[in-house]
Amino acid sequence: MPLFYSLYLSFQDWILLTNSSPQGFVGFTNYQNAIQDPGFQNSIKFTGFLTFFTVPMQLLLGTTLAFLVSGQSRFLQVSRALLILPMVVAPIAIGTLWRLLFNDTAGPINNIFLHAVGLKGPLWLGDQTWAKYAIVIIEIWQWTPFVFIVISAALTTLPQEVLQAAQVDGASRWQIFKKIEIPLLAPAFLLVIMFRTLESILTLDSVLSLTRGGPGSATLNVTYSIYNKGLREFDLGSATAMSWLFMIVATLFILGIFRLTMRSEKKLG
Amino acid sequence: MKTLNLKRSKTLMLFKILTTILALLVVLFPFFYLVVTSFRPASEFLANINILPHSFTLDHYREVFGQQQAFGYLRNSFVIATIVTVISILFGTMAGYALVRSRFKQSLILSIIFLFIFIRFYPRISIVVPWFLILNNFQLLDTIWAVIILHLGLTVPFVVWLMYTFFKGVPVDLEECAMIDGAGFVRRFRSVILPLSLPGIASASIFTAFLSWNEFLLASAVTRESAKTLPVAVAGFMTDKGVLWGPMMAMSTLLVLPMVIFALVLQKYLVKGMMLGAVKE
Repeated sequence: MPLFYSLYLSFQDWILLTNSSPQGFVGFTNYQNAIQDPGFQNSIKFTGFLTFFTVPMQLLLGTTLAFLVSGQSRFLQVSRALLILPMVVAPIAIGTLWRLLFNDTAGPINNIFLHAVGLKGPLWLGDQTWAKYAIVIIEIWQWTPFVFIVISAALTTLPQEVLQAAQVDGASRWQIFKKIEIPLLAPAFLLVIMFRTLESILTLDSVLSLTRGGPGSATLNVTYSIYNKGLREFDLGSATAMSWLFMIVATLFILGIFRLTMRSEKKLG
Repeated sequence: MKTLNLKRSKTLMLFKILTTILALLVVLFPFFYLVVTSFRPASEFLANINILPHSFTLDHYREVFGQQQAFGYLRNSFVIATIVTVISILFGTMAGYALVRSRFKQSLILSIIFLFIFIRFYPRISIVVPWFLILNNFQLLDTIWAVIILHLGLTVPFVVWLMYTFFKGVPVDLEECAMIDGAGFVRRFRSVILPLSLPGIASASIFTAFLSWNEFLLASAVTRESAKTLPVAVAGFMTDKGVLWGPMMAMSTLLVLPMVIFALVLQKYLVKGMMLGAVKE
């Protein structure tokens, strides 16, 4: 229901602050405006940037950790439990907390950690470029655990006989990793990539609480610019048009996830 | 040769432990800093760069519980998460079961599942504006029901999908046996299916509770003051004039700590729920 309402709105001229009802059908004007709006274009670029930098890193770190922390000892079990904590807490709180960590006058990142290795940290959140990396960092911090969990669990389902057979045949650890474990983990990897890509496109909370899109509009991503358009400027026509454009892209990804899920199901069934 | 191997595996073990410790530090430090900072006196905020403050204070907690009505927000968040979880599980379990055992064409079931996956992942931002207007019409804005309705829209499809995946793993034979023994439909669902699916239900409830407790975007769109949830209240400390660090950190601690404890206690089910959502076992 709300979806169809929003489709209807996207073809209307309606700014809630000045009018209390839609001001008539305007065809594709809202869509055209959205595509031509440089702010919206930039937000698409930043969304791409964010996904491009975070997803591969999350994958790399998450997988490495999954391999390192696999095992039965008490220490490793406790570690596994603790390592997933970032993903269970509200992104909004994470953003505000890291805002303090990144603070250039008192935050520990610049004043303690980077200071200790003799580096002078950047202004992080006050700098157009570094603010982007700040968001990349917290996204990696918060969501690497997701990759970690899925890959860890997938690791436990690997057939032990195959691994042992390879070992007996004299395969090195690296060969086993490359030739056996990675291919067997491929379905899990694909799913993780799809999930993370989609969620990273949809990120809002962390951006909102860490930088509020600033400085300037350096870290404004698509979700946040729709949020601003709709809930701050109350330009409902443009906001819904933007979200429909956005939705089309997201739907393609969702279709991808769906087909992967179904394929892995078929394999099992 | 043997000693060499032994030595190598020992270095490997050491490497494993060291990296794990490093990862733990990176993960846990922000949590530690959050809690410590919520006790830091206001005068030390941008002046003292040490991790530990010179003195500890309860001022920020006093403030959030006094002027900021933290109790009210806590209660809102708690009530909303509870109601959302109960309703989602009730409907999600039944719908998931119905989908698994129904005699619909496979393609129809697949499209229904697709619809549910779609609802789980499509951009939430797209429905914010229409929902805002609809709820405004029904005069439900700034009530906890507004938040509950919006959260249910997210969680019910998710639970259906999760339970669908779960029920697929429950063998039909058991149920057929019960049927032969003369158990009716309700009896079968209650005494055969439900006990078997308890782990699945546990995972789904935890997941739903997390989602609802942490959700910010939808809650912030439809609340102003009386129905505010904790995440919305935390974001409220960032004003255009500046950030009220102390109270914000205290409120964030209230938001984060319950989930951390919850996650550690119920870790087994949490991981399972994530796996059901993400990969098949």
